[in-house]
Amino acid sequence: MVVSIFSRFIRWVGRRLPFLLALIACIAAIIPMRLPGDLEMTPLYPLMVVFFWGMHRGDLMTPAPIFFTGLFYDLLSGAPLGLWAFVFLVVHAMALVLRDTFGRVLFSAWALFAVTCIGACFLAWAIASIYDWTLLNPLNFVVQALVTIGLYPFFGFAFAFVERRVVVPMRA
Amino acid sequence: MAHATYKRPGWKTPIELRAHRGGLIAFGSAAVLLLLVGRAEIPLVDDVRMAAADASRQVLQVGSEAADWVAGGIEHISNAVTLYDENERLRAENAELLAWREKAMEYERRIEAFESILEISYTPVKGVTTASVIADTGGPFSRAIIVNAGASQGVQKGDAALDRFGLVGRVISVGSGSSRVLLLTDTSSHIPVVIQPGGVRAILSGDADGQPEIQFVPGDVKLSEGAAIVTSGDGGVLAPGLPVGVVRLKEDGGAVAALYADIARVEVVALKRYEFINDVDVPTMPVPDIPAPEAQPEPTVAANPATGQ
Repeated sequence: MVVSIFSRFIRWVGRRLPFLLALIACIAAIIPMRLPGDLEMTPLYPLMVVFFWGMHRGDLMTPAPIFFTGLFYDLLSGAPLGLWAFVFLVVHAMALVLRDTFGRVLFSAWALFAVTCIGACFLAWAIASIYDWTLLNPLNFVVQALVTIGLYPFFGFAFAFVERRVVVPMRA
Repeated sequence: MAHATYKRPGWKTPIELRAHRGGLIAFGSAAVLLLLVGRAEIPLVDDVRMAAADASRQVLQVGSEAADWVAGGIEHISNAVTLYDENERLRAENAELLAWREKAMEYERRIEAFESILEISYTPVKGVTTASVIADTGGPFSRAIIVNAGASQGVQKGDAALDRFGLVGRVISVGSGSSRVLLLTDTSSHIPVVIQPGGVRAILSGDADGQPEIQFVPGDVKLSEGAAIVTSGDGGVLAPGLPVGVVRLKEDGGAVAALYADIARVEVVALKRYEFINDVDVPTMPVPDIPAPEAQPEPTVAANPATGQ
């Protein structure tokens, strides 16, 4: 009986692990880095989580957790409320279409992420420009996209490891 | 894997996309609705933002300490490499600063003497709260930081935030244990300033590339490179005289401010509140007995200098 409750708890946590990772990513994205140099742009960690888990475990990363991840990130980062929530949902749909068109081998996954990330940052820039009704400087968005794309492979490998070694055993 | 069949014959769209379609449409519309509602700038949104920051405070605190540790380590290593050069530079700087100290002490004596004669009263400081930076939104939208002091530490909306060198920004929203400081580099930050020799009034507006622009300078005024910028205190937004930075002229004729504050790496801020004297008791003047002015003649069209006719 106890074992069954415990195993059910583990399964429950395993099911919500991607969402939990996404929330942690939102917090990680606003921790001040204070690295030497003038790069102030932090990578879009939540976008990496949404892209990877939506593509690999579409059963665990559904629109509801994606929406709430975006909302949490909007609240913390000071972006217009609903902006990243909307962009992440578009990213999710885009990731699924790209995957079924081009496959998801490791290297091509990076290329697909690059396309998705540039699209997401462009969409965010467009929405924010309409929201503020001024043409915002796109430089910041370009830098953020490049930093995020550059770091994705490391997180992609880490997420793949978590998927194989943590989520699958927990869900078994 | 549970869902090994990603592509089934006859399915034009991915399986998950079909399964998620309802959710995508529902939550997508909710996000768009939030964007439209949020445009109305309801104070509730601000409260929810601060509640989210308050809830993440502990995690952010630990995270920023860890990040500090890593950044400190990197700086330690790079310092060790440049130790000799750094020593030489500091020695030269020290000699220069000693000369400045003599000057400063002389000025201090003079200012003291003048103040005792003039009986000047400055904007009184109501309180200071020191807080460390636990989050830096770092995104392309808003350049703001979250600090670990809020209403329970006496922080109020509108407080001036300063680092060791100068003004960083001002508090725009206050939670119970954390508050959000809008940096001078944010595009929505507009601060009334005075450029010092000459007392030229201008507005310092945040710019996306990190150096705020000096705007609304009177047309006949030529700014000089390196002139000191301080807050003017106009409009009661900030106290007058807070150090901001120096003027840097651009090639296209515009001017930007090189800030004293190290905004990219600000760790600790002092949040200062001032007592603004907004209600001045103006003694009621006796109404002078002036005869009503006679009707003015109609101005002729030719006398209008604006149109040149």
